[in-house]
Amino acid sequence: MVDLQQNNQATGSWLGRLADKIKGQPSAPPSPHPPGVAPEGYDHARLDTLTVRQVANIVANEDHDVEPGHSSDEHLQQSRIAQAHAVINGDLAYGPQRDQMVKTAPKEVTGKLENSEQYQRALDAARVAFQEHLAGKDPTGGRMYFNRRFTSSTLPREVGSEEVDVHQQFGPFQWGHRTVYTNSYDNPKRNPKPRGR
Amino acid sequence: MRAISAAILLGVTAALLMARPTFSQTKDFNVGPAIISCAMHEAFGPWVHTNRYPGGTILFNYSHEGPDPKPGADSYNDANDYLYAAFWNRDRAAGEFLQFIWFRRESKTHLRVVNNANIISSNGQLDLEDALWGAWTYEHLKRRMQQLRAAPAESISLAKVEDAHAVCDSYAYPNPDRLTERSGSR
Repeated sequence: MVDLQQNNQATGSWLGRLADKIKGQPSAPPSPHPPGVAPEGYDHARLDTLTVRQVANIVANEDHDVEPGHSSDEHLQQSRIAQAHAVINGDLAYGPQRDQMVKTAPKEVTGKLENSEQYQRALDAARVAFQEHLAGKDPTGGRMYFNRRFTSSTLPREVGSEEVDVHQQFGPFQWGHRTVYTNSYDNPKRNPKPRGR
Repeated sequence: MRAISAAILLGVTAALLMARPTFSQTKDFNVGPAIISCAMHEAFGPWVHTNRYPGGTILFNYSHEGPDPKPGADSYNDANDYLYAAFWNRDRAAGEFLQFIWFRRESKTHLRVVNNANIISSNGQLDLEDALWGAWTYEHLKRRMQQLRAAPAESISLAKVEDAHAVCDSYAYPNPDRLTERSGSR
């Protein structure tokens, strides 16, 4: 099943989409990648210190077991792409010091997670975010921070003496029995800008 | 041959000592005053809002986790020392929770706030609200908060909080002296 999913994403083939339909699942939108470059060709490309695969691992860890709920699968995927951009921006801002500044989940995943379908979606999100980054596109506008809220509140988040606004909200999604929203936030004022932004 | 064996034994012993995972109020150095100081006075805080604690006292406890040579699915796989600090109200049903990195190798105690959340009661259960990141970090922090809920806490008089002269910074305001200059625009 994982192989089939990988194959679908790699080729975007009608056969793959047909197989998805037979399985009763919506097909993933095809990744915008340049002709001749398979999406997995980017997996070991490095942003600053992180590889695309490590970005995927972080997103997979932080997004594990989040389901679309009443939202579309595509909307959930958009939230993963936004998270991947945020992780990329943290890497571009701090490089080797990222591990001591932007304390997301680890950049390694368990074998169980790596072999799951949700991991493939995280990997696809990281690939899309990387390709968008190469094309100079960043829907987060250089933002590095996101979180989960259990309500649809878009109130600012308290960061020491500062309050940072919600930039974008995705959801509602389902995480176990809980409804969750993924929010991205403005960077605190004194944060460095990601390199090249 | 005996010398080689002794060297191997010494190396293994040293590795075991250095690699010990810790989850405790650290005994070798009282970092508590530095945590309180950084949470209340510095690092462009306050990270703890004293107006949420009527009566002028806060209950406080913390835990320390050093590098783990065999990190589980719930642990970081890096060389950092982490501190988890809880500031509780009188009945320990609400409060604020901070995660720090403790830079132990520096000559002066240096703490960095890397995450912050509210401790709330929801349907009779303690929960964390508004921490950064997603499911993994939420579960990681919540487990530590629950462990602290069950551990003893000390009472802090807000009127007596002193500057511990620690170096404090945070993800919101990284200390520029502690960041290596990077090439490229900022």
